[in-house]
Amino acid sequence: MPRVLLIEDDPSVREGVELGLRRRGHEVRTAATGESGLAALAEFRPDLLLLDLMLPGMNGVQVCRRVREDSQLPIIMLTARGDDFDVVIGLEAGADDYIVKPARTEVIEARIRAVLRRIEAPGGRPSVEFHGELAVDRAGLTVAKNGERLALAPSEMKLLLHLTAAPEQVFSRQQLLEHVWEHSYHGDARLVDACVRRLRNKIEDTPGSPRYIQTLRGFGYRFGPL
Amino acid sequence: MRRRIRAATALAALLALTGCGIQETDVIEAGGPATLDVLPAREHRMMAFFLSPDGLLVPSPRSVDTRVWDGAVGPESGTAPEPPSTAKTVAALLAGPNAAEKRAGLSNEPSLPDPSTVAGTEMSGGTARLTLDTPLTPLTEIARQQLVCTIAYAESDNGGVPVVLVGTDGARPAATCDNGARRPAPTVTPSETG
Amino acid sequence: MTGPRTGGAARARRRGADRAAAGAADVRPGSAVRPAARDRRIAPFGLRTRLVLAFLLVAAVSAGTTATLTYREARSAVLASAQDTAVASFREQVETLAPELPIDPVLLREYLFVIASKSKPHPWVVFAEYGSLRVSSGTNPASTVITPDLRRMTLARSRGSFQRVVSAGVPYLTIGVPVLVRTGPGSSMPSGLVLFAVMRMTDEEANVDALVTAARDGALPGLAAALIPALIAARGVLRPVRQLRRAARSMGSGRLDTRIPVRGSDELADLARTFNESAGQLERSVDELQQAEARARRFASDVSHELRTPLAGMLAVTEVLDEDADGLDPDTARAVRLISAETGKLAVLVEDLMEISRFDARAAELNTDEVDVGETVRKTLDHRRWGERVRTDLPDGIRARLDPRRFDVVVANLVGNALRHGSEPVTVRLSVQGGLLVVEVADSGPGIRPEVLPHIFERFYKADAARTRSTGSGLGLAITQENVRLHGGTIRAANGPDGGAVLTVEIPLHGPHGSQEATA
Repeated sequence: MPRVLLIEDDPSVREGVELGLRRRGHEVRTAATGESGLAALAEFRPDLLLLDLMLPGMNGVQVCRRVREDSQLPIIMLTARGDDFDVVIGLEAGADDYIVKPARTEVIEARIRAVLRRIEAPGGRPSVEFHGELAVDRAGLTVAKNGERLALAPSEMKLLLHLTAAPEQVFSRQQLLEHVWEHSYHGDARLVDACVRRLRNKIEDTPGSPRYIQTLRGFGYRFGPL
Repeated sequence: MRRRIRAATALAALLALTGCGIQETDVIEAGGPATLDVLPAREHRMMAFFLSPDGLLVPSPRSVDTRVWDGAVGPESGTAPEPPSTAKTVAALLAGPNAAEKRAGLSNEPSLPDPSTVAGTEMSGGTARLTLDTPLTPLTEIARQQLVCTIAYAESDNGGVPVVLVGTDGARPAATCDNGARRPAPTVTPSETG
Repeated sequence: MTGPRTGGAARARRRGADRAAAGAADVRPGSAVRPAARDRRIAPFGLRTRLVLAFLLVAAVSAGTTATLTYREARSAVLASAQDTAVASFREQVETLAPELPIDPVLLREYLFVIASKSKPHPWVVFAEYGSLRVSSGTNPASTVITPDLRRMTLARSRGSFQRVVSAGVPYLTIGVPVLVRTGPGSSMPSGLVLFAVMRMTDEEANVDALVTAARDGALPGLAAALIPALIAARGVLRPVRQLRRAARSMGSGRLDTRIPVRGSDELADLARTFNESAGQLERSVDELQQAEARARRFASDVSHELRTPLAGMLAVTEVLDEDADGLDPDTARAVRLISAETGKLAVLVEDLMEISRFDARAAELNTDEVDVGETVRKTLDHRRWGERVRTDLPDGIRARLDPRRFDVVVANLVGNALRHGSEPVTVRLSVQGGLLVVEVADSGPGIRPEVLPHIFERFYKADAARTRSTGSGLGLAITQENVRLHGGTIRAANGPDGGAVLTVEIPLHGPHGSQEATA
């Protein structure tokens, strides 16, 4: 069972979510502030970080950036809908998904599982594919550009794998939401957009005019053609 | 809206009433008559009143200067004219208009008696009196006026003298000449001229 | 949790205010162009026309009256002068005679020639009557112009008379003078001789005609000149009126700070002042109302916000309650399950309240994307496992620019509502009509009662006062309507020909005007 670190300042939410997740077999560590959460990170070594965006002192976005500096730990933000602006900033900062409070434990757990789920490497294909200067290792879940390994967050990795699995095929944002994030078809497409932006920053030579991940206005995204 | 139309109509009507150009008028009296001296002059004439075709009394002055009358000689400055007697004048009237007068359409009222019926005239107490040897009843009013005016102007210059007609059937009340003349009423007393 | 959140809320509120300001700014150019175009049109019986007409009428009446009076006076003067001269000189000429009576026609005719030769001011023809004698200085011995009236008057009275006669279109002055015989100093009597003069008044007629022409020529330029002050006065009156109208329209379109410059101290200035005062009061009261409303909305928003945090904790543990309820004694188990169920409903209600608050604060954002509408609707139905309960007519290939999440809410609310309150089968029909995406959701129930129809989009509206709380929050259709409006569309409810309720949504295919472009 995954180990989850929950950073949440409100005691009732902290306690409720911790209780719910623990009942479902998760190992949960909680922290009330960003600082104490970051401190617990090194020692607890969680598989996933549940991060409230609104924290006293160091806020969720700052925590998120700090984590991403040296780690590709899956991060799910806890947010209240209406704080749309913060959601976008959180996603830009490197969060993989977000959950709107209040949420039932089953919803939270489903999201946790979705983020942690690996994309199955399709059989009968070489584990390492080369796309231009990119080398994608589906089995080892690593991506290298010009031989240099890139640090991709779990959502970025899954998106790249999904797109490269069918190069030059157009995926609508709704389809990507369903398949990469396991959200409903009607989920928040900004998740996709933010993730694409982050991914482009890492793999494209000039993110302003992308080669690998191309936009088809009105339809969605596709990988290539190179 | 309707009020405005009505006002416009009234205005148009006013303008129409005013009219342009020269309009006809009724008869308007303006000033007096033309008063003038007629020939023959007062001193040389006697005046008989005849009827015009319009039924008006018209004075017809006749020269009493026989020479003038006959047309032979003009009036002589030396001879003092003598006004003709009233009886003579009445007789001239009853004799009827002469040729010139007839030509002008003057005539006598048919009921006037014959000149021979004049019995005499006299002036007494400011009243002239004509006695006729015939009854007065057949005389019409206009015939009587012819007699009255002729006598009145024979007895006075301005014809203001009352005249009493006496016939065989009695006397008529005194009457004055009514021919539209203008006279300076009280200043002249008829007796002076009689 | 407190600091950053208020920051976010303030941001959201500010964004709403900005959008409201942008909306107000949008109104300005439009409202500035349209009235200008309308101003130029002149109403057939508008104030301007009436003012000008009144001015012209007054000018026409005064010019006409003046001209008429002047004309009459001048005409009288012209005619009187001619008449007096003629009458006086005629009598004067007659008085120079010394005729012999009874008159001799030949002699009389010579007299008449003499008199006629002294005509004044114009040539006249002299006629004389004496008894049955008729003599004249002209060709005919008797005149056809002299009226019997004049003749009778002249004969009967010893006074001179005249009469103007128009014969065959020619005006004549006819003068009659009776001749009196002087019988003594100061006394006279009618002689029976009557003289008439007949004088054509053509010169006077020409003068009078010239007067008419002069009056007309004077009045017409006067009228034309009156047009200028009329237009100026009309402008003077109309300018404030136009300003007033523009200001009133501006206020009507929501710009309550509109004021009119007050100039002068006439009635129109009073009106402008009154308008400004009223506008000020209106602005103040509207401001107060808006503040009160904003306070109320903020309160609702804050309450939902505050409710959300404890709910987040409670909702996370409802599963624990549900699972362990079986092991508790029956009463406690029922109580625990009740709390769990109601917590879920409360969460939905609070979410809906939050959503409505965002719409009220105009903080709701539209994240549009171009989608296949048929697929979108199908996903909505599949996601809620309504596939077999709903008949669909979803043509392929309808693509529209809309916010998929909000469109999902719209369809889900409409179908959910139809399934709850109507009866199956429920039909979802999709079509395109003239640039509009049309979504029709029909049920086979008894339909909506007519008195309920106008209210079904109201918040917490209960068709039946006695009806207990349904599974919905009571905000579903209100949120649906707000979402449709956010897309620039409309929603309406009606009863179909077969009795079922039909809710129809129409949304522009290419998104609301000025919507955010898709980021994809």
